[in-house]
Amino acid sequence: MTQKSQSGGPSPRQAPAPSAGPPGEHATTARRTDMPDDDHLQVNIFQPRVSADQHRLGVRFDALRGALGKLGRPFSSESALILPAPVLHLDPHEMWEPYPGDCRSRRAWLVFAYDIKGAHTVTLWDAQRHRVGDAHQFFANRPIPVDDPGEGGSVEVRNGHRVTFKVGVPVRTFDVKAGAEPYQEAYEAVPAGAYEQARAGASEESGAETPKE
Amino acid sequence: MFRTLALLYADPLMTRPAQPETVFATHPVQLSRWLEQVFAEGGISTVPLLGATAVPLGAADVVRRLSPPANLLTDLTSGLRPTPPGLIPDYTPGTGALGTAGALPWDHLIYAYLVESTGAVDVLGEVVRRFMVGETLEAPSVQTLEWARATEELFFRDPPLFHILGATSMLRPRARDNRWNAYYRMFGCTPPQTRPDDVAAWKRDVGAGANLRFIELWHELLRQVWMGVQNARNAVGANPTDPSYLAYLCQTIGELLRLRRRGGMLAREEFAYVCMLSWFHLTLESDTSVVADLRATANALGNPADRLAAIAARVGMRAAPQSRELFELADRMSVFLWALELDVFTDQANAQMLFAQPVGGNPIADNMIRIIDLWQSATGERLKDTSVAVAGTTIGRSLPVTPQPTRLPAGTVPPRPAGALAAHNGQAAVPRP
Repeated sequence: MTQKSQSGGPSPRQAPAPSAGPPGEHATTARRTDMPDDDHLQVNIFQPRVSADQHRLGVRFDALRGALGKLGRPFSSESALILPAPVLHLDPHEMWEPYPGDCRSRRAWLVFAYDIKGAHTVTLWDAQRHRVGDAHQFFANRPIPVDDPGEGGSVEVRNGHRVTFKVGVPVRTFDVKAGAEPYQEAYEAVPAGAYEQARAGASEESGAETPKE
Repeated sequence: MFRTLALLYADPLMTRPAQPETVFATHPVQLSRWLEQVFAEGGISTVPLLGATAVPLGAADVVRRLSPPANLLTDLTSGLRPTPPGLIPDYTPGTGALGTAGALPWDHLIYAYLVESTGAVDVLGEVVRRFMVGETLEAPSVQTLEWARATEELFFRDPPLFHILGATSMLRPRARDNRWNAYYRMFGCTPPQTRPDDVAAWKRDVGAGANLRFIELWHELLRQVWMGVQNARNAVGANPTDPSYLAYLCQTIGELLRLRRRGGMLAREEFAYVCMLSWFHLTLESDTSVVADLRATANALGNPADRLAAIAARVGMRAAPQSRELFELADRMSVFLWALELDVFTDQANAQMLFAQPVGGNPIADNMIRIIDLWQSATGERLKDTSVAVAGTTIGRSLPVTPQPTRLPAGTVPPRPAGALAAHNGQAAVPRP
């Protein structure tokens, strides 16, 4: 039985072992002698774990909160929602193709308008909460070839540790050439540069209230 | 929805502080068209973030059938685009108005119920009336006058014909009764404010279609979640938490709420009422020109309840004492009730997320804990006292405190409404001896 297990509780201080060498940078203690696995991160057994699916649910719940406009006080100012929504370009001539194993697929191109910090891979999910295809590497402003998840599909972004942290509902477009520019056309998002310009112009003009014309 | 618009005006990515003044400076006809466009996008029924199995809003095509054809929608669009602060929103023709390229979900009806319970509609309605009929308040700034005009146009007169906000008619002329009717049907209760002329018209002809069990089930759910929170880190000894029972409660409440939505009932009313209440919430959420003109500012970190109380005092009224809790509850419960209706927590693993506190946090449990705090504070219902029996509920008997009661709370039996047992075919009810 080890020294620690005999004590039955946390010992107030760990004294150096009598046989320990000269004190130095890595002075060995009795505890380190008995429990060398302390070098590794210990899992807190009192901290409940949740599965990846449960974690994803939490992220999606947070994203719904963001979609409902619940940002800022008393909520966090950051949301798990991907905005603007990624666009899923579809070719209307390409049809669902039957695959063995009751799988169906058709090609689509997923485009994100902006870079997402920490994003590593992208996965798609259909309306029945089934994953569609494999994970794809994340790119901003560049079409990512994916399988169409169908109506009611969603997109999840994972970080380098394969942990989901962003969710989005793609905007489905047909007959639009895949690429970054058609993204703006399809989504009609105001180009960030133009908006910033307008904002800067307004702040320059209005030291006072802008008159109503 | 107007709070979302205030965010969209500032930044389509919703990352900048909201611009309420820009919303109030928008012409009412544009706001009206914007709401029509947003409704046509389908709201929660086309936002599959929770990957739900249940059909939202009661019927898959209710939004499509209640909306005008697509070409009529684009005939006159809202024309709203991001607008820097201080500028009056312009009209930009063409598709792609703010928030209409993808679906924007709107709040659950509970949001409207809770915000209305603060008294905001009555108080701000009185403010508008006074601005319009005389000078009992100090002269407003032009921005406040703009807000008052839009408030009156959008919510205190008949909306344009065939508009989605049109939830009043010759058959149901009183807007307030109509709103309370929806609350009563969905949650079995109405806001606490009463007027001398109230005759509970909102209960008339509801029949058995009111969720009188809702509050009891809701309390039971919150108690069970709290039990889970208390025991979330138990590693030794018994753990009375029962995720299976929690999932069952969530399923029951979800079914109860969906029962009122059969065939798409209340979809239009819900949209109209949550939009209306979000306008008043937006007015009070920051130190807007209206708040400043009424000398009710509460600084940047202030609470809408403080502003409401100050404004109410200006017009000789009183806001609900629990307004502080109600405003925050409205936001938090709205998201959660959507999730309940979408059957998200009806399996054990998901129900566990209502109380689990893993490394890295859990937004669902955080939300629930805050809801429990606020609900107990707002209603006085002792949700956290699981060691003693709580007596004096509406059903007149003590509530169970064991992990799972023998039966689910049954609520009250719907009373027979006096004099309104059946429709009268347009005739006055004949008093019976």
